[in-house]
Amino acid sequence: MKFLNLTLIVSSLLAASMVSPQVLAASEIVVVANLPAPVSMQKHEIRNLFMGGASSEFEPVTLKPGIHERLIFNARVVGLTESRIQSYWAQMRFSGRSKAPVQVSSVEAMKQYLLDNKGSVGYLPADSNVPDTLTVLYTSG
Amino acid sequence: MASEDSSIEFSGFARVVAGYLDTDQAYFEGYEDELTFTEKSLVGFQADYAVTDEISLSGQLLLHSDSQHQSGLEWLYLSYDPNPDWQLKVGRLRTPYLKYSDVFDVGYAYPWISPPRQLYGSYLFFPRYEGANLRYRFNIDQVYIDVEAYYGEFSDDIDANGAKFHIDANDMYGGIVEVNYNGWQLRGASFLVDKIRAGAEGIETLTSALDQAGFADLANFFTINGSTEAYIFGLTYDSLDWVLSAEYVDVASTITILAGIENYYFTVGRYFGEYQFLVTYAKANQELTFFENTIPLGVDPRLDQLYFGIEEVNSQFPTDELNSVTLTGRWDFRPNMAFKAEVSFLNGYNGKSSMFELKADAEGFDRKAVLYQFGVEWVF
Repeated sequence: MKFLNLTLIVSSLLAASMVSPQVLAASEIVVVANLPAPVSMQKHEIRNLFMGGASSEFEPVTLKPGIHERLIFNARVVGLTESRIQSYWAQMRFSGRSKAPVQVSSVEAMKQYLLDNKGSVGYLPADSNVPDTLTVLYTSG
Repeated sequence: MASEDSSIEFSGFARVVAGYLDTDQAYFEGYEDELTFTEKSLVGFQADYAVTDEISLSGQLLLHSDSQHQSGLEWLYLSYDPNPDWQLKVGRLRTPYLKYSDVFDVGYAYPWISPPRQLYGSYLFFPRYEGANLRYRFNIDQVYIDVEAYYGEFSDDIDANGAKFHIDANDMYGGIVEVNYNGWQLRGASFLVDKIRAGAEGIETLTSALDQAGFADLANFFTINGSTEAYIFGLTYDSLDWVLSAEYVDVASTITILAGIENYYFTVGRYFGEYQFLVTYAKANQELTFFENTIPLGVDPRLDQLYFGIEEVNSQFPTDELNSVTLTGRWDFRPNMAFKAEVSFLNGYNGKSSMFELKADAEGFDRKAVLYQFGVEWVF
């Protein structure tokens, strides 16, 4: 019985490690938006939008720090480390220039936010099912 | 960061910094040969209240652990943002001359513990002003440009290496242009003051005595009353691996102690995930106007008194020539917190103040010392 328990524990640990986000997560992202008509955006425009650039049409949405897709977005689109991005936003906020984008805590919450808010721009794993009502603006990789 | 409901947001920043200077002959930025936590530790609170979609009110309260630094309301301004391109701020604002000047107290926002003091420690750059700041942003294809102009006045006490001055600066103005392309940023800024008046203990008495005794040139030399122009150029590069940063300031002034300043720094840094390592070289040069004490000695006891009076004042005027090499390590152990450690090799010049404040009987001090600092930075 004890042996069986041990096997169960070991196999469940193995199973857990197999489905850990690191293993399953896509290594690319798609930048998607809730827009009435399709538009195309270049990488530098997306970068600018997410780094406090002026825009009255689009509202950027990001994932919270530490989430895998955020790391990919930082590396592929923004081109800065997480710590530099955090420092940058501290500078912008405390010098009264601009504020960091809205943050959501999961990919699911991101999808929901994008569906609920017209003009919002966010990102999803490249292999996720992008709802028909959202427009793909950019694919990394 | 920041808690919020529909219209008001609270946020803040804090830093706890400890430092130790390896000499018993002088102070540097308040540090001496004893581990102290009070010189740079502080906490700041910010409230942003959205009055309407376009108008907001912001205030920033600063509490400093060191009594030499002022605690109080650093910012209080109204911001008018009619559209995302334009922003107008009116009220009490931080002066934005150098890249990190307006976030000087927010250590989390920059890589070092002490931004190069040859530039950031300059007593010329008054930390705040009462006035207005207008900002406009636009882009030309992939080049993003940010333009700011400001105008205002400043009146407060400042401390220059232990010497206290009361400063009145009227008609203080300038502009900033930041040109961004990918990870590069080219920055140009100006800081102009048409009229600065500084009063220090004893100086007025001395200059009027010099005037009465017929030494108008000497009286003029020691009068801190005139105009100043400073121009700043900066270049920054930021990527996933490397960071480069350099700033240069050139000051021209009709005021002797501010004339002929040419200071710069450059920093090279490397990121390793949440770790960052940087090397900074900084240099302060000041081409001083030649000072000649023309008062004859031994003719009249009152003249002798005047002679020694101006020698004394001259020795207290700051002459901040200093070069330094600084090694910095930063570890962002949580998204809103960073640990930093820093060693600065300070290399000043004999006979100059070199940003040190000498202790009594330390005339033989060679103006060389090592400053060790470590600290935790936090934004919330």
